[in-house]
Amino acid sequence: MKNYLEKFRKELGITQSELADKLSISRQTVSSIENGRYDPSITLAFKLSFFFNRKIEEIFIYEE
Amino acid sequence: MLKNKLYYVMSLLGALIIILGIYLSQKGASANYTGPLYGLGSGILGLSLVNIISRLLAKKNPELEKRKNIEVNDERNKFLHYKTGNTIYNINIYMLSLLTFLSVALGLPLYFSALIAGVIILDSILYFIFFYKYSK
Repeated sequence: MKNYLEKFRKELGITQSELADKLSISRQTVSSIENGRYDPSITLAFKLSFFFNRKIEEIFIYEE
Repeated sequence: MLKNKLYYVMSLLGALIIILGIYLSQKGASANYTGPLYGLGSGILGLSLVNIISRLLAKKNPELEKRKNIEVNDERNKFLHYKTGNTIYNINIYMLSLLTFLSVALGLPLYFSALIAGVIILDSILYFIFFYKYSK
């Protein structure tokens, strides 16, 4: 699934490690999501949504 | 705290099993009996000591403990563990099936082939039991 996680993270000026720390996940998970190698659970998607103060569909792009 | 005590008890148990192995060895017992005791004792002792040491280190370094907890509870890591476990399960089933055929082809005792086939059947039964349990 495509996403704008990297863009929004960079807008906030934080590193992958810092984002991972804020959400209590590993840096590798942040990296994998950003590269589209891993689709997060709905719980983590909501956590990211709350953290960036954006709707889930603004962060993740669902394509059939 | 309870887990801490358990690891101390387990390490003591491991040491006792090793001592029992040494004692039986000195009494002239066959290595067929003492060997498994050494193996089992060393395994239990080693695993318990690793857990005790890692818990002591974690107490001294809360940051390290936090990192460890994040790694353990990280959803992607959990997913990878499940996926790895499932892949290993599938490989094991093929390996066991191959072993069953080989044991028959090599003319090994029937109970040996039946034992391996039994493991495959047990695996499959457990698979369906847990699949049913988790799908509720």
